[in-house]
Amino acid sequence: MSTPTLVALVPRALLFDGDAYLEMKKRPRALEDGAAFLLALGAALGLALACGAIVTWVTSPGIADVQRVLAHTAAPWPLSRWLAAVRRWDWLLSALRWARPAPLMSLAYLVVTPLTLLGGWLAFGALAHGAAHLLGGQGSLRETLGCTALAGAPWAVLLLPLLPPLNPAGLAAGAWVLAAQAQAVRAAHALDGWRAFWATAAAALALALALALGALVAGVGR
Amino acid sequence: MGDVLATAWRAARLDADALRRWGLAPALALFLAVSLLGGVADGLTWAQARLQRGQLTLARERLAARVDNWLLYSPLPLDAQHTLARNIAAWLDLEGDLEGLPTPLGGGAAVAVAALQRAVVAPYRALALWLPYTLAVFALARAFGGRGSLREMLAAGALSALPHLLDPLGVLLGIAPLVGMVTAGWGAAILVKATRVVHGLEAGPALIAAVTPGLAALALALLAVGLALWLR
Repeated sequence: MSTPTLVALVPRALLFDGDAYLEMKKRPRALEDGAAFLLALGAALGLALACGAIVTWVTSPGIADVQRVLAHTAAPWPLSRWLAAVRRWDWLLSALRWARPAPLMSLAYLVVTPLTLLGGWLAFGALAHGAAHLLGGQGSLRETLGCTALAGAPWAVLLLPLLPPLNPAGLAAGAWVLAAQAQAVRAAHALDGWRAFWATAAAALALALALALGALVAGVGR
Repeated sequence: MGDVLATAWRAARLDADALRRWGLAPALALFLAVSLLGGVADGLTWAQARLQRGQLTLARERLAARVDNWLLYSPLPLDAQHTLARNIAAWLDLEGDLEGLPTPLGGGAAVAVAALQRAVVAPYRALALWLPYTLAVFALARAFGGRGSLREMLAAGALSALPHLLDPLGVLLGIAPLVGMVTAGWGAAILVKATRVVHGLEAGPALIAAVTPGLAALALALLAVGLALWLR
């Protein structure tokens, strides 16, 4: 059960081959292999995202210049009201700063991305494991985490160093990963298609709610 | 290669056997290639427009004047027409001002790199729209008793991108909205046929499965706009 056999599972997982997850489940060190895979993917992704962010920075105008143009634009109602609202919304300007980080800040992707990938995998895996058990699943936590780690393979479509931050590619990869997670949960717990779907949906919803609550608390605290 | 092209042409003409024959890997590759072609056409047109800023300014002024004329034929009251026309003209001016801002790289190099980014983002944008939509169609088709697998649905559904090979033509001829409507309708027809063929459904359930996610998204969008207007 070597690294090449693990790597060979990746394209099969990308193309929704359910048997790939069954083979991952059988690996004696599925959890450790899954963690190593996501760490390597996260490192490569961090490098690609950092390059994309730097390319975006050099080809787009500064946020201060954009703010200046918005402030001095003479527009009739209702456009003027919308522009005034945009200028007041700090979160929108923060989003613009995220979409165009300075080159040194872009290097943060190198550290943040692998940690985010690993943290998201553990959180989602634990939630999906709980939901699958509630729906009659029979897999162990190690098997669930091993299979859901492989289901992170679609993030590899973002390994293009030209992609700007905050672009539709993340949405595309996220949808792909979610579909793959359903297959992973199905294989790990020997569930039928619909139960695997609901277990995955419940885990994804719970994670999204937890993140939204965390963001709200952080925003209120600030 | 000839066989692939012949099968693709038959699939575009809604041939059931041709829709069934595609594997997921070649279908996805075709989908991404078609989207990339559209992205390259869009990137080249955008770069050309940005490099000829004087002509771009003139084009914006002409568009604002055309909108003013079109609104005269609309049922809106005169003051609403005037407000709408002034807002569109102000928006186009703002767009021009933002595009004129300096960038760290500067000049033609920045435009070339930004155009390349636009081109490579296009397949991802298409994937971000197509994949969740097709997954929703798959779930609905299975709920209606469909028997197809996820791989088969995605493979046949990816062929809905085939008509979009005509999109760059629309951009070049300046009739992109018209061509876009035709290719979108043709792509939707391929998706409905693919749903029917893959899942063994009758026409009615296949059509409902294929269009419901779109109608639901439209309803949510209208609800959001209505809510925003009401809260204003």
